[in-house]
Amino acid sequence: MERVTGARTIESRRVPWLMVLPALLLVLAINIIPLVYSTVLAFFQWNLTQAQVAPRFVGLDNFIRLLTRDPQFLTAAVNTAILVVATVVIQTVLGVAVALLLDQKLRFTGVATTLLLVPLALAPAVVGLLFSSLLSGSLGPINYWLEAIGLPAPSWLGDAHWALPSIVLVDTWQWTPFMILLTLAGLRSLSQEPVEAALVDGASSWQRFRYVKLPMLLPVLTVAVLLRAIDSFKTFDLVFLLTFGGPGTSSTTLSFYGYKVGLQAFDIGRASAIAFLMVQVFIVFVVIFYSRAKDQL
Amino acid sequence: MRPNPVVRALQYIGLFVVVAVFTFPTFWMVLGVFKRNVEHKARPPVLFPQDPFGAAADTIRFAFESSPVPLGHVFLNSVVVASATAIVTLAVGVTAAYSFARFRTGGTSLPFFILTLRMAPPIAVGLPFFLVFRQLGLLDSQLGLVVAYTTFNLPLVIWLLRSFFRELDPSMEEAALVDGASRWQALRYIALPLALPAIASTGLLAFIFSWNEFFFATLLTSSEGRTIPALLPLFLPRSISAGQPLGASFFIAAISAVPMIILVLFLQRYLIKGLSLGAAKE
Repeated sequence: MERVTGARTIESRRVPWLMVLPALLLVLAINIIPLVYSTVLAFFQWNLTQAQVAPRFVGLDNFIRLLTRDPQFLTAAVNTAILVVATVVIQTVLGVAVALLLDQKLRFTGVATTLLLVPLALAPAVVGLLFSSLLSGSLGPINYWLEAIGLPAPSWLGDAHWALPSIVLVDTWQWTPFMILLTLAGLRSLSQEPVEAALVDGASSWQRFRYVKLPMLLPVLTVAVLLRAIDSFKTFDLVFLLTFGGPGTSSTTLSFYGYKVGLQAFDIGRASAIAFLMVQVFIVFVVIFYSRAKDQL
Repeated sequence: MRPNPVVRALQYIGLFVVVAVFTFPTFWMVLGVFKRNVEHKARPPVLFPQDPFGAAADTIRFAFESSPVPLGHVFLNSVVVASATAIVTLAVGVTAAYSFARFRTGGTSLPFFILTLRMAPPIAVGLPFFLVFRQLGLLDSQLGLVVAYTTFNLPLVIWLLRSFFRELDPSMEEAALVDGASRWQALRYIALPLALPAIASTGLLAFIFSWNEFFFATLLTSSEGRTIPALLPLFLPRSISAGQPLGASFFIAAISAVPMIILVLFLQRYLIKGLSLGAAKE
């Protein structure tokens, strides 16, 4: 191997990068450059409805306006935060609970896990469309059944207090199966010895879960929680189909507000500033992801 | 240790409730195609429609007539855009994934950096796409959507195939190299055939994620280029004028959903692996 020719060495050093090159160029062209362009636009005033006015550099104006003079933006930010926390907490708790149930060696578990894949196959927009009739007072069965068992039947999508919880509910319907199946896969890959040792030592089923299984599941749950949080942070489709951000701005999220500002008001500068701020939050998520979850993938 | 029969019974009830809750809306969707308007509004809810096929025929006819873009055309757009995205991302992604796995090209940070682009807020690239496509005449085109969908599918394809190639034993490729094959030949004739099932599954994932995409489809198309999800808002129950078949809303949802449900039943747990970026152990 001492006498490898120079040509061969250069060739073999080049090959790895040649194999990556097309992907890198594509990523540069369609991911990185647009991101940079979007960042630049955040510092300009540019409204497409005023075609004769050229884009003008305005420094931090767009950000100052958003943070000090735009109550709708602040509402969207708060709504998004509530949405992220609520969906992640509810889906994690439900997901782990159901996964523990499915891990009990019951019959039909195989069929159940297959059926749980179905919500994940649907486009979020389809889920939004379905639930807009399921939750409707006149068309949907849900309120009929709630009343039948004596529970209050709110006007889910038409009531400012219920609009955001409705989005949490529908997102939970679609994504809890993801948490269930991921946790179940985690439970099944756990080593059985510590669990059996705890059983021999007389640990109750709660103790076996809390002190043996949960710590071992933590890495996979961390990935799941972070992925769900990042996804939930971007929620757009459900808002568009279920409530269109309303009533008022009661269910407007950051993605949806950015869309309204950019594509309905055509205020490109301000919409880009919203996108910029979202990317900053996203980077925080990615840093956490990198330090906590990367080794799981 | 035999479990307590009462506990067992409760567990089965729990299992039934879970399955019922997560399957009912899909069942309701299919049922909705076969109902007349009185049945949609009836209390208690109708589970057995009177004239299912007559109702479905009227519903489907109305859906085709009222769609602003011919439904067949929209369906074809979805098929073309999702297939093209899967093909492009695989064509570019396979060699990159192989290189990342075998040579650790760019360390671990470069592949991870690419992966994070999958999760970035789409609005940050969506606005620039809108502005540039407006100039280039790519708004409302299939090509424009393929470009947009490649932004988030290519990172996933590279990441999933990288982890596949890493688990693939390199000794056969090394034997070929010793026998004088080039790296490209080792990839083409040894690694690629072994990776084919993983490549096919990953391509299907890219197809599904593109088929289901809503944000870019709404942002970047307006009529001729629309895919099925972008058409859904027009078929909201509140958008269907009084007296017209409300089942159209369910029909359009079913056109989008049923092909994906079938694909996912093929993919089974690989879907969870894809959605969790490989964190799920198969």
